[in-house]
Amino acid sequence: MGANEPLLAGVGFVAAVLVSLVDGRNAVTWTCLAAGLGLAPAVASVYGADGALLLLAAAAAGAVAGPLSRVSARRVRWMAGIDPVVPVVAGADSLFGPRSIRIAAGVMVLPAASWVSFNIPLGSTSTVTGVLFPAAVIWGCAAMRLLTARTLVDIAVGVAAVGLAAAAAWLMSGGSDSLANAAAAAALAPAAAITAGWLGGHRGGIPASAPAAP
Amino acid sequence: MSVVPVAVAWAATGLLAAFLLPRLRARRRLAALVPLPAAIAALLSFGGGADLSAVSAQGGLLLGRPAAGLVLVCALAATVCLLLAPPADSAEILVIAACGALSAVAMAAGSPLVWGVCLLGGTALLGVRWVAAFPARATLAAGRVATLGAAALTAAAPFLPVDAATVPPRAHLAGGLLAGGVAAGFGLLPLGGWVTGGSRLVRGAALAPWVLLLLPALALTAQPLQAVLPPGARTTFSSILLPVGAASAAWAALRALAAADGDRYPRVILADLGLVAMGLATPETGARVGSLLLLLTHLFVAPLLLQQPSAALARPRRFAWLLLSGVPPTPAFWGRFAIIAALTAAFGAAPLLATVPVVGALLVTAVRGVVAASAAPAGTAPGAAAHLAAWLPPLAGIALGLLPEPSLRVLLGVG
Repeated sequence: MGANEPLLAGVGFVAAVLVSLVDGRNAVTWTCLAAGLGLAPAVASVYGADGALLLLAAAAAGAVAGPLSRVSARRVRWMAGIDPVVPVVAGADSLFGPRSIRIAAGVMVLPAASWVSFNIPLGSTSTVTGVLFPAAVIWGCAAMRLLTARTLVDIAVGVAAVGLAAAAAWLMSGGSDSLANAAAAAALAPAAAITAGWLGGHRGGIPASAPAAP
Repeated sequence: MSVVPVAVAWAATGLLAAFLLPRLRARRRLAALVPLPAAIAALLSFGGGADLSAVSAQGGLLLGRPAAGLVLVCALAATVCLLLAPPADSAEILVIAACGALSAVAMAAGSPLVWGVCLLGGTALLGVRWVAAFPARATLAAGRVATLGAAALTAAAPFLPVDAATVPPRAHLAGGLLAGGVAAGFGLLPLGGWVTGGSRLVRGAALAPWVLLLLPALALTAQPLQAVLPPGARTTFSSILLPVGAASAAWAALRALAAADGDRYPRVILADLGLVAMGLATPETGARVGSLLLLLTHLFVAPLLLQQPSAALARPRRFAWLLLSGVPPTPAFWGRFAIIAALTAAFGAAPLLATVPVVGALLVTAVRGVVAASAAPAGTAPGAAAHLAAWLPPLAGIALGLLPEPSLRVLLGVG
């Protein structure tokens, strides 16, 4: 039975929406889970079950590593920290908040991801098209998250989702040493979760909200 | 030879130092030892290997001869920088060690994905560190823009290698993503605000991961792109980097003329990076040699000029500024001359409209730097080891200027 492309694209789209919207102390955990679950079906249908398993393992590692890192960081008192959830620079009150801006940016990503998916062939010899949409839309939303970042958690969310999306795209393109290289990219997800959790564990450290630089 | 020993040396000493330093009193000297095992590992890995390009996706993690040489110089420069800087804290040491390991792997990566991932991890860590140390708009921009640029490099990976048979949209997309990633990493216009803004707040060892580790890795690995990419991707890559590099070089050189003493050096780096970016737009050998000479020059002077100006180090700082003046036989002269000659050979006289004023402005800026170094405020006198270390980079720079070709051959195996 062939892959149901609209269904795979729909799952990827839902994951991308979650990557764009999720906020708070556990944002990286939810991002890892959403991106992993959103990309795994597409990778399973194009590359195979081992690729999907790799993505799910990285997502699960990211989901677990964040809270564990936060707990560990609370025990380390000699290192100063910063609360990654508090905006780095306090913005003025405005009609549209950060989520609205992310949604607007995500809407622009949608046609771009669709175009890339259907017009850019993947792989060194093949001309596979139409399967890249989940990875492209999640990568695009993660990039928008990075571009509009106000907190360190936004940056960590962006890095985690970019890593998982890049790993999925690499597996789908059948690049060299597929699993090993994809594992390196997917490792960004637990690394980002550990960093965000570690910073979050030092909530009593340096206050994040500081006056804007001149 | 594999890059694994170098990466392990960086990671192990960084972790060890991060856990031990808070418990020890002589922090400054011990922190400076962190890059040395990586330098030794790089020295042991000398002996050959081709000039590698991740974009051609040949696989593996082999450190080529130029990359091994650059890892060695970067690690030594980081050592001097840490010796001269105020005592680094554990987080700073961890970030330097992580960026050192990631930049070494990026230089050795035979896969475009691993290359992009290493640069993405390094820039993201750098951005987080800058924000944690100095929470402000400028440092947040480093986290946003530099990380997004490195993410563009990872996005290019699934479309590489592109060959002549590849349909045009894919080649153009890959070339555009690579150029965007390089432009963000180099801090070119309009993506360079994170460097100028961040360098106003961040000094010394906190700037080292970018100037001494990540930037050399990106610059070296971007060199062979013109030779590796097919015509479609090459055209897009050049069409972006040539004008953007020219505009960045001109703008940074202009701003450097009016910059305050502490802000002057980052603008000189940006101006030279603009020239290097212009050089990436041509496959001429001279552009590559010139870029490597400029890169080495900055690796030699940056450990001194990244520090807060201080009368205690006025003399070596004056020498460092002289090396950047672009007067023969300084290494900056040879580097800029080789790039300009290559650009003229490739594109005719048009690039001279940007490059000649840039060179003139940088000469005036360097002279102002020499004068300002004499009038620097009195700081705490460095120890004997730091004072000795402060003279090493200018002396190495003088040797590079007097013997550019042999120096390139010995250090990087190029020429």
